[in-house]
Amino acid sequence: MSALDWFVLLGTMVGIAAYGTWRTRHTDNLNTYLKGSRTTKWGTIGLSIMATQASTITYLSLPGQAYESGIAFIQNYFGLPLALIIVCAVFLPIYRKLGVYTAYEYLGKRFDQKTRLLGAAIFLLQRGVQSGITIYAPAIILSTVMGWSLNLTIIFTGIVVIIYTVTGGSVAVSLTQKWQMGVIFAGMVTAFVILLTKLPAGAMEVAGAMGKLEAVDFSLDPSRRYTIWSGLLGGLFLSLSYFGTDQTQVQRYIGGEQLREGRLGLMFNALFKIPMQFFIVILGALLFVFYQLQPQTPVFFNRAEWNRHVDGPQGEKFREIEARHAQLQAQTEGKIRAWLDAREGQDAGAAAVARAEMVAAQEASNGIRREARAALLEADPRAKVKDSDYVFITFITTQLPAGVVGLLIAVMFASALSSKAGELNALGTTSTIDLWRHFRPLAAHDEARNVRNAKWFTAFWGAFAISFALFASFAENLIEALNIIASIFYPVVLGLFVVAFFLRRVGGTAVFYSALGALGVIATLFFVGRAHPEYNIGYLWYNPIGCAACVVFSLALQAVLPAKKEGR
Amino acid sequence: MTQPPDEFEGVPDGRAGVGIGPGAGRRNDEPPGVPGFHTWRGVYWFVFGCFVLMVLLLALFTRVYA
Repeated sequence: MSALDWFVLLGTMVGIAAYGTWRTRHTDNLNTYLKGSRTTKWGTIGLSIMATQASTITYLSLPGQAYESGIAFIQNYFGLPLALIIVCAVFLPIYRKLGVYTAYEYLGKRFDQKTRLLGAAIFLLQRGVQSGITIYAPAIILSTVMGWSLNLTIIFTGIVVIIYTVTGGSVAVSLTQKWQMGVIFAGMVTAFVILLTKLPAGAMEVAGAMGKLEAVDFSLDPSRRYTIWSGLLGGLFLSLSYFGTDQTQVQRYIGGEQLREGRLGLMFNALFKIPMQFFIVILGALLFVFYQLQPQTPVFFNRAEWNRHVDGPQGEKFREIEARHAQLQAQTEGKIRAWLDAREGQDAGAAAVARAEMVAAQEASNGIRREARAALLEADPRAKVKDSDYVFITFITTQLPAGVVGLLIAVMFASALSSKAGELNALGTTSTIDLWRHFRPLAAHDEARNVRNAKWFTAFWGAFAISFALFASFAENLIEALNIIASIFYPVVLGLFVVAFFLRRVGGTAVFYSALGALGVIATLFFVGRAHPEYNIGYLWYNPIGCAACVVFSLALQAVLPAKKEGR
Repeated sequence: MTQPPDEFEGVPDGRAGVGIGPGAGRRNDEPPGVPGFHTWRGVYWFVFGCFVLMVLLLALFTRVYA
C-alpha cells in the first residue's frame, strides 16, 4: 500500500474510533450506556442495525460467493423484511413497554428466572464465541493478502473496538456505526464504479449466459441449496430469531426517545437490506466477467497458499497447471469477445453457436480451477482450497488506484469494528443485567456500580474475543464446530419467545424443559445428517423445525404438568 | 402478517400483572409520523408491498439475463 492508502486507512479507522470515544467520554448514566442516547434518531438506529448485521465477511465473502456460484444467495434474505415487520409490530412494543435492557429480561418477567438464565446463557455462549470469529475471519484474509502479522492485526482491531465500546457503551457504538457505514457505502460504490469502467458493453449478458445471474429459483427440489421457498421460510425464522431475540440487535433498536424511532429504523432495514445485498452480489457476478477477460487471472486467488506450493517440491506440477490455465483463459476471453461481436450482428444462429463455444470454454477453465484445488489437497491435505474469499480483495489490491485501496481496506476494518462493537456492547449488557444483577440483586440500585460493571464486562468480552481469535489460528476446525452449535441453539431461543408472546397458558417450567427437548431434536437432526448424508437437510430448515418443536413440546408438557408446578 | 391475530389481543402476563403479550404494542400505538401514513398498519403494508415488488423484479431479472 502507498503512503496515501495508509493515510486514508488509519485516518478513517482510528479517526472514527477516536471521535466516538471523545464524544461519549462522559457517559455515566446506565440507561444511556446500555440503550443509547434518548435523542438517537431513526436513521442512526437503522444504520446501526445494518452495521451490526453486516460484518467484514459480508463485504469480502459475498462477492466471492457470487463469483463462484452466482447470485442465488440473495434468496436467503427474502425472509428478512417479513421478520422485521413482525419484530416491529410484536416484539419491539413489548420490550419498550416493559422498559427492559435485554430481551432475556422479558423472559424472566413472562416466565421465571431459570428460563431467563437459559436464554441469556445461550446468547452469551454462542455470541461470545462468535465475537472471536468476527475478528479472526477478516484478519486471516487481510493478513494473508497484505502480508501483515495475523496476531498484530487481531490485537490492533480488538483493542481499538474495546476502547470506544467500553468508554461510551451503546451511544458510542451507534455513533461510530453511522460513520463507519458512510465509509462502507462510499468504498463499495467507488469499487463498483471503477469495476464498471473496466468492463465491456454486454458484461451483464455474459454473466447471465454463464449462469451467474439466477436470482430467484422456484424449484421445489429440497437438495437445491438456495430457493425462494427455503429463503422465505427458513430465512423468516432465522431473521426472526436474530432480530427479535438476539441482544446484539435488540439493543440497537430499543433506544431512542419514542417507539417510532426503533420502528422506523427496522423498516429502513426491511426496505433496503435486499437492494444492498443485491448490489454486493452483482458486484461479485461482474467481478467474474472481469476476470474472464483478464489474461493474468490467477488459477487460485489465495496467492500465498498457491505460491507456497509453486516454490515447493512439486512446483513443476503447479506451474504446468498455471500454464494450461493461462492458455484456456486466453481462449475464454476470445470466445467472450466473439460472442459479444456476434450479438451485434443480425445472425441469431451464429450468435447461438458463439454463445455455446463461450460457455464450453469457460467450463474448461473451471475444470482447471478444480484440478488446481485437487492438486493443492493432494500436496497438503490441510491446504485451504476455498479461494472465493480472496477474489474481491485481489481486485482491490491489484486494480484500484492509490488512495482507493486504502479506502476499501478501511471498508473491511470499518465493518469488522462496527459488528464487533455491537456484539461486545450486547455481551457486556447481558452479563451485567441478566447475570451479575441476578446474583447481586441488592446492588441493582447502585447506578454507578452498574455502569462500572458493564464496562468491565464489555472489556472482559473484548479480551475473550481477542484470545479466541489468537487461539483460532491453531484450531480452525473449532470455528466450524462452533458455528454449527450456534445454528442448533438459535431456533430454540426463538421458540422460547414465540411461546412467551403467543401461548399465554404455558408457564416457565414447561417451556424450559421443552427448550431443552427441542435442542435435542435439532442436535439429533444434525448428527444424523452428518452420519448419513442422504438425510441431511439445509441448516436453514433447523430454524422452523427447532422453533416448532419448542412450541409443540411446551403445549404438550403444560397439558400434563400439575398447575402448581407450571412456574408462572 | 402485519398484526397478530385478534385472539391474542391483550394477552395478560402470568406474574407481572401487566400486558406483555402481542396486544401490548397495539394498545399504546402512536402515529408513525411518516408523510402519507396515518397508521403503522399502513407502513407495514407499504413495506410488504415493496418486498413483493422486489421479489417480482428479481424474478424478472432472472428471466431476462439467465
